Amino acid sequence: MEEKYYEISSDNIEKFVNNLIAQDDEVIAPKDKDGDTFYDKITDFKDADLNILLPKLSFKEYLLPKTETLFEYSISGSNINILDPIENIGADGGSVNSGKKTGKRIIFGSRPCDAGAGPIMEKVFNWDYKDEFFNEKFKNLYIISIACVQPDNYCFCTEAQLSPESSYGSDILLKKGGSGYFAKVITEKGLELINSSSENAGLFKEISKDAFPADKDWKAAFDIKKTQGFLDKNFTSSYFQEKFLSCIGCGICTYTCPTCHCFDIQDEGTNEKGKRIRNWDSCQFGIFTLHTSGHNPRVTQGDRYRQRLMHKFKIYNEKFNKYLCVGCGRCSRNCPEDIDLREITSELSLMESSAGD
Amino acid sequence: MEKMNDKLQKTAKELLENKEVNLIIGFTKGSNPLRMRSVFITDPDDVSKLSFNAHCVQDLAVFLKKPEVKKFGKVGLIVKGCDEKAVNTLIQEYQLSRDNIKIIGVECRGVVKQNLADKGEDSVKQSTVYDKCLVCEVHTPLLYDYLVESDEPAFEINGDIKPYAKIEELDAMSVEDRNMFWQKEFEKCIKCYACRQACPLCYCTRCIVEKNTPQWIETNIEETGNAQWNMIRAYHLSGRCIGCGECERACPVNIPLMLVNEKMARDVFEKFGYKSGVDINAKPVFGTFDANDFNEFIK
Repeated sequence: MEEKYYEISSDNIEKFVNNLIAQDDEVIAPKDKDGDTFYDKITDFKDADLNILLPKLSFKEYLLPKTETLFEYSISGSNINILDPIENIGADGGSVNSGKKTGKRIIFGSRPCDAGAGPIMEKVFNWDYKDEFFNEKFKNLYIISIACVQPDNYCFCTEAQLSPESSYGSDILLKKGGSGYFAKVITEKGLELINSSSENAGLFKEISKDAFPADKDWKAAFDIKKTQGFLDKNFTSSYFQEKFLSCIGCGICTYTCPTCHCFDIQDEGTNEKGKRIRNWDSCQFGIFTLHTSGHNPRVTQGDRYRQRLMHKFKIYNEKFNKYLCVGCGRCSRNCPEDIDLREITSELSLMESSAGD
Repeated sequence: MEKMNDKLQKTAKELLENKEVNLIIGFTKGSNPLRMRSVFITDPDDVSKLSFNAHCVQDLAVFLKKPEVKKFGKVGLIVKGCDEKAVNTLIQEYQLSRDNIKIIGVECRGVVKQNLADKGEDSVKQSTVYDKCLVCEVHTPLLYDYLVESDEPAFEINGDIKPYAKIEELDAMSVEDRNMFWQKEFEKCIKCYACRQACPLCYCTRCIVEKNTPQWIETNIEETGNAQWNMIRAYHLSGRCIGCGECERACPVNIPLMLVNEKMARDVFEKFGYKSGVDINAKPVFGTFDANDFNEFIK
């Protein structure tokens, strides 16, 4: 659709969000918890903590839950019952995860990096097999982002082909200014939220495209294509083994990443009843590639972190023409050993530049 | 700090030059001025990278379990007093030979909580350091080959802050309430296993959660699986945990794991008179048998 532009005051944004909550839509926003901020359900606009740069974890779990039930079974005598959660959508509210209908879910106060992760992940979940679990959640996820003013030293969204003001993946992008916010509505879903009631529609004042504040001229500090160039040619570089001696092989970088999407399928239960589930998994675990024979093609943590870099900045781009990274910097901020992805991608980019001279 | 850094660098250089060790693991400047990170040095000319300050939060003993590090053979390790107890425990449990390690102990005056440092906190005082620093008995490491003395004054403790205060609160709760507390905490768990990986004493090459014939621990990242994982992690460290607090620091969802660890350490001390990581010649508490044990079933 053609983008539309609006202005809305701070008071009206509060009313808008509270109306959405009152309409029985599930609203998720950055929320303070134990002195940190996480995306969580809010029951009032005032629960939202919009003063921080980024919640500690992304909202990936609303697209790919930590554990998701694919089907349940029960056996009694010669009777075998299979319960397919997808077939049961539309029952009585709740999520696909619990075998119930997925309602509309709204992320309010997302950041452009997190919003960008959805369409990037969507590619792999629809590449050959169409993953109906993911698609159902993605279809029902409405994203209202707020543009960033001041990225921190771990952010590199501009380098990762987005920007602090990017609207990629958002349904509505808000920018601070005027009497509160300027709003850019990018998708039909965004328009649907604004027009969800006559009261809501009245809160937004339509403006011309020219009246919407222009993006700043964000400059990339390094060229991510050069990072890819280095990865193309240097699989055996000693850089990886030396740099990642300090990696302890926890899954924090992958689990807090908005785009990492690996999962592990497991069966849990007894002879009488149980379920097949998929759980988050991580390429940083030694067991991730361990063969039944005992052989492991990725022996060292250097091999494993190299895989993470290869997947994000080479393989995914070759296949889907998108980097599997939105530059949010969570892997760096949350790493207990202070491994900094921005520093690494920038270093590799520079190494490629100097090799080309 | 300058004097400390000079001595650190001089000690490391000598060890490398005299071939007493093949690798030095120490601290260096990190991704921002209030973060430090580990550094692995093999060339004596690189020792200038080494430094120490109140942001050296990591327990570098964690690297001793890495196969990539074991390949180096003799290692020189820079440790704070709390972290050094992990080295002792590894020796006690036959995971490390005393001959293969040169312990460069640093006198530590407490480290600043990383979540505060990330918000700009740079001063060492009772409200900014970890609880472990408030009860620290090992500002000078118990065992070392070289000691690097601190040139910083000790911070003041006036009793305003009660370390691990929540433990008494939990002890006073009913079983149901206590259960509810932990259920709520474990609900947050995302099973990234950072608590395990950051632990210098979680060295199993195949963790119990990775064993699936049979599957002892449920794999789901929900109520049952999370409770099972957190319980088994706790029990596998009872009588062993040295209280470095790395599991809790690493946890991306802020589960207060040190409450579990500290509670167990207190119970073990109360029941068996044992403190972990104190004496490399002591038998690990659960690796020994005593005919005078208070439990009837063991006799």
